[in-house]
Amino acid sequence: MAEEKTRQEQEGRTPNRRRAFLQALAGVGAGAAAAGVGLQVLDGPRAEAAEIPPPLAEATGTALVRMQQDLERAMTSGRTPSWMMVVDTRKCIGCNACTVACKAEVPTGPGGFCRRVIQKELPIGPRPFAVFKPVNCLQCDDPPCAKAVPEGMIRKRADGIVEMDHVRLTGPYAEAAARACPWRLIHVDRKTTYTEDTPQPQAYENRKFEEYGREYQRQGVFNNLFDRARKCTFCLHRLERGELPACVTTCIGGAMYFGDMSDRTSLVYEVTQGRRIFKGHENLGVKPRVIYFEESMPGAVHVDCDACHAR
Amino acid sequence: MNNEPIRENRQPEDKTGRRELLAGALLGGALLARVEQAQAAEAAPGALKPVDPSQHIYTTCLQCNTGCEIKVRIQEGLAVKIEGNPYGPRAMDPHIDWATPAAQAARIHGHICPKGQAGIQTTYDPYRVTKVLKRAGARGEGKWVTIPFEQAVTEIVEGGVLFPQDGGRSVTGFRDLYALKDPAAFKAMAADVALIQSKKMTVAEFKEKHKDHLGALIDPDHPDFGPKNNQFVFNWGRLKAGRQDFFLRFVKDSFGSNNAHGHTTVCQGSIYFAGKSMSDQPSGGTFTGGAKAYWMADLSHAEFVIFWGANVLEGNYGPPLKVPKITRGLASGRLKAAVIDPRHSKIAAKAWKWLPVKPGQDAAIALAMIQWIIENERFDRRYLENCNKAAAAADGEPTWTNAAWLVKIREDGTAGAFLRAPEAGLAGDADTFVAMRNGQPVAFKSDDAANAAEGDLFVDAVVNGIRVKSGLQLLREEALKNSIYGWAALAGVSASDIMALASEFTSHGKKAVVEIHRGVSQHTNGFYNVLVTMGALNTLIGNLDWKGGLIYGGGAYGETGGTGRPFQLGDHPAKISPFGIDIIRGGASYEKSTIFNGYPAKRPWYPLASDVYQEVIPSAGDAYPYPIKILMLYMGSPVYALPAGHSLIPVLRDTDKIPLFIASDITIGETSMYADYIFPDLTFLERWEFHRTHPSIAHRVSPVRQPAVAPPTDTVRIYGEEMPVSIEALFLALAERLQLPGWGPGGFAGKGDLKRPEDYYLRMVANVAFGNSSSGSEVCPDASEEEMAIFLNARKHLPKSVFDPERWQQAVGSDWWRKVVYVLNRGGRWLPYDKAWSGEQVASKYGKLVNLYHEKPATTRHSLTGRYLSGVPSYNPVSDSLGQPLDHREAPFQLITNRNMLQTKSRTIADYWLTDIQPENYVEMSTLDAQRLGLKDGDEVWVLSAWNPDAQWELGHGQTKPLVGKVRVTSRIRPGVVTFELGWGHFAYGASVQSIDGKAIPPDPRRGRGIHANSAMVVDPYLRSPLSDVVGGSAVFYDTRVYIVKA
Repeated sequence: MAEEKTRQEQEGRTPNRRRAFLQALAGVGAGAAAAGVGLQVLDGPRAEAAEIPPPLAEATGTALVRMQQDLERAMTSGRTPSWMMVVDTRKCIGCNACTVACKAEVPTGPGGFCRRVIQKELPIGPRPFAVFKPVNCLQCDDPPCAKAVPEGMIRKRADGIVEMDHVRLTGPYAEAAARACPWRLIHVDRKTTYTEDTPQPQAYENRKFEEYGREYQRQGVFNNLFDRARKCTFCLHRLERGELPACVTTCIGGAMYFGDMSDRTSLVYEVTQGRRIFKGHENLGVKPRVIYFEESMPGAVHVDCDACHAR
Repeated sequence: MNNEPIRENRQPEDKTGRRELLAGALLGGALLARVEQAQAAEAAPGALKPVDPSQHIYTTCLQCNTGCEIKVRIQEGLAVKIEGNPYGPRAMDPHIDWATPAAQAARIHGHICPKGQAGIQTTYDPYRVTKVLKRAGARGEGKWVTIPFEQAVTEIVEGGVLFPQDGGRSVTGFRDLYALKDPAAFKAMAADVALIQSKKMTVAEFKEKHKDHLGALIDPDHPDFGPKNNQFVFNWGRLKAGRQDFFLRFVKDSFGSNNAHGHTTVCQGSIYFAGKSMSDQPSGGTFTGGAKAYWMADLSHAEFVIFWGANVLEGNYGPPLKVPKITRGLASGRLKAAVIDPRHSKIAAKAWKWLPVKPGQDAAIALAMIQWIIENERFDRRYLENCNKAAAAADGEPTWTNAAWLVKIREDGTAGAFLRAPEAGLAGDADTFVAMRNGQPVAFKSDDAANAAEGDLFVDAVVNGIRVKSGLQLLREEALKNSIYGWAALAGVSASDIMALASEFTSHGKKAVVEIHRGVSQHTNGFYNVLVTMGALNTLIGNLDWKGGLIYGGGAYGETGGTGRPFQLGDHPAKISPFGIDIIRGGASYEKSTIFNGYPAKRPWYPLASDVYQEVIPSAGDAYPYPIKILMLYMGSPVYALPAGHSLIPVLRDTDKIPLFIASDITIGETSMYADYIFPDLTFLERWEFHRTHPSIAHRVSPVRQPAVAPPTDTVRIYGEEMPVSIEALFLALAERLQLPGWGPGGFAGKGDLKRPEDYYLRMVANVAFGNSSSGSEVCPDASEEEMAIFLNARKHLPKSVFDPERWQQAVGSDWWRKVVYVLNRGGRWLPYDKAWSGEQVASKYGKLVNLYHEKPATTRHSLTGRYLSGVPSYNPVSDSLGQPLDHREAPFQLITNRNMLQTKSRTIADYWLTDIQPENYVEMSTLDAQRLGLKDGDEVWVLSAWNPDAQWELGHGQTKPLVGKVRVTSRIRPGVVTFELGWGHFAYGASVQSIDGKAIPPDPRRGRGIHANSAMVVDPYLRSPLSDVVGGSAVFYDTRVYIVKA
């Protein structure tokens, strides 16, 4: 601690930090929504040391193998699983591997993303900072999209996945669903491809794929998804085969956890115990099934999710 | 859609939404009832749907140089999805047991980066070249005709008036260039050239002795140029083992050219050659035999790492391999990280400290740290006092240094060679060195395993009348040339941060590492920057070969042969050893050559380096040391990749300087657009290769690249074998026409034929199946019946020209076939996870002398200044090739580049999934600078420099591309520095119009977006080619200053 103090004195950090902290309190009180105020700056060891949950020391590969075994157990137990996706935000590096994996796994057109990664730069006191956060359909327990369209066109499955009825949910209904999502995580498929205006349109773009248990082709005559509401399906077609979702396996940061929350022996359940968890749009009551660790790397600059989100 | 943050709405935005929300709330009860009904209707899952293991082919990615293990899902003959291969350590940490049955591994997927996921699009690229293209206009004009493969081969073999539009010019083909053929003649002349160079034979005597072969020489008055065969220059970009061995078998072993050059210096150049200097061993009175290799951190166990000029979460070597170890370490608290980089990179965002160093001033920080460590005695004294193997072994250390060895000081005060025992009046030979112990000189040999020698660390004395200093004393003096505050001021960082780093670095025993990359090496002072950082700092704490310390890499499985292996790929009935100074004068001595003509030499000589990418074409342009006749370029784009790559364009367009230019490429790229012929090649999903390893991989690894999908190129027949057009087909066809020994029937000298690529590559797979133990104790099992079926089913979609199981089995024989299948079903072979470490050290050790002081550079003259180089890890200011300061005409910004994980150098712009996420790059500058210049996000700006005041790419034929980009304002960069991400700003590769057979192929504007500001970078005033580190070879990316002007 003595060394820490000397460093701070030398660099004049302490007065700045204090000022920023006071500004932050004022900012929250005034209801300001812009990034840059409402930030709590902690440089160095966290003040609430007692609250730090046990570190997750296991390696990505170990976690993937265990989650795949958890998945096989969930899919053969005879019980309906309750899917949850958990993101260790500390480990996301904003690389977009998951974004591309999702597109390759379940073909979508240009500009159509079922998964994205937010990269935000936040100026904090003397040090710059960046936060990385992947987002996809939260598979809300009380989905706003379902309420924006006629009954039954969007239904909540027992396992937690929110399912679009691709037969009836089309055109203006699909658009209404897309507009209703607070995070804009639903897009409407326009049947466009990446190579259609090039010298040689490529066949892989029209390959067959499964969505909600049916087979489609993006350029198929009868089995395309033109004007349908597309979004993350928790890779249901992979789960049915005992394969983890594409974004979970491809994550090179090891930030992704997935599994059956009702199985107390599963890794996804274990990692959420004793941690500060951020759930998007709690104020809207959506009850998301994609939840995030609310902590930062030890020793690195910390930002509370409150900086950008109202709860 | 670019990477804009999504607007997080706290309320429904529009009235419609609000109404719908309310309506939903009213319907709530009814809706809930429906949901409950639906839940009841869904059955609970029972059995898993099956996964067919034969839907995957296991291979190796090549979207960057990391070479991650992947599996490719094939659906109706197409590659549709890529996953990480869990058998390999790049894609799974820890990787799964190699014995895991293929059927079980089918459900387990590893991780892979966004480029890896997009690899499908590199193969299924609308701008693929699928037929041989011959230029129909002038070079670079963009006019091509397709010609049959056989005709193209005939033309380049026989030469003649191949291009009527060039006037009557006759091109020398391969046949006429294959002037010297007899391996014995090569050997005899090479030996006598060595005598000429050591002044034991005159040129006249040579000409008399070899008068029958003088016509085969490039220049009989300069026999050290070698034969005309050397005028065939083969240059490559991204090339790995297997393919490299196959190509060099043609170029060197069979055709006899000494000109086979890679691209190393555009990547890390000076890191490799500083590493080579660090690993040179004493032998025969000199220092020699160093490996072109370097060291990195054991990230799985390190406790403190300084990531220095190393963008580990965005590029480097590479993300799937290193990121999981780093994030796991950071999150668990095991790893603490500090970052030294002008940019606040992604690793800086997760690190304890970020030092925003001024580009090029890294040595200042390193020497300040070294000063602190020495003055506070925080170095590993016990390690540094060891002078030889025996002393190291007694302390349980795998390595030792020359920190205590005595160095002779010249009259002018500079340090020269090590003192030898006879010079000190002690018994010994030219490999016996001297240290001081308790006031007495002691003699020892470096590799003596029996007699331990230790020495005092800080010696400045006179021994036998000779002024001497110890290696560590010289380093200390260098570090003391400035105060810590003085060094900090040079580097533009805080002295207290430097001291905090030094303290932390010396507080973790051997589990602390300085890990560097291009930010340190791609400067004019790169070689010495590497020596003070990767070299001296790590050596001071003696972390080499220790778990959590500095590691050298676990090696590979002897793919090309070795003791006990079933196949020796070097078997050749008439193997040639080429001789002669090569076109980049690599590993050669200017002073010993017959063209020595005082200083400066016409172009630099590189006694300490090789693979100097930025020298090949400019040297051809200057015909120095001799003119060339044929340039063949493989999977490379020096015009795009090199800093100031535009300076190569006039040479490439000049048919006098490069009479025949052949490119092997998958598209018409920024360099192949200037070729005479483009031979289409296969993408990495369609072919073979052996990617081997990296310094940061502690495990022994042999990932295999094998065909996963059918290629779009034509099928041709060579040596009676049907195969797709590829570069292997080209070399096989050339060999067939020229009747080269070592190819075709009996190519392996009575041990088999070399008629198709698989004859070569499957033998390598068999060697992998053999394992690493020469006793044969690691031979892998045979593939089971089930695995044989999986293997065959997985390849049903491949045509016989690509996959013919009977023909494949014939290549390796029935003894090895099922073992080859076992390896191919897994995509390679890797050491079991736990075996990479043995106790507290790594299992594969570097295990010998590591040089802290460098005798070889100290006794080598700079070919342009004539002065001896320094052997001391030291601070050197940035300068041009003659050692003069660069005149940037007061340009205010230092220009650097950085990697974004979405793009690799030149070849990923075709991947539309990646450009959909980020369509373009930006000129990124700090908030302070933007405010000062009145610039905001999205403003278009010119990037001008003294070397490109017009801010244009000059492409030839009046074609230009402006150096204009959009600004991105960020707090995440040091003020005074601007950067742009590499991979955008294309002017070929589908971004420009090309005409094939009279038909214009429309370009795709998505491919031309962004800025590629390499042409603003320094063109060395003396070399008239890219700025270089003339000692270590690095092509310099980060020492240009520019103006940013609003467009």
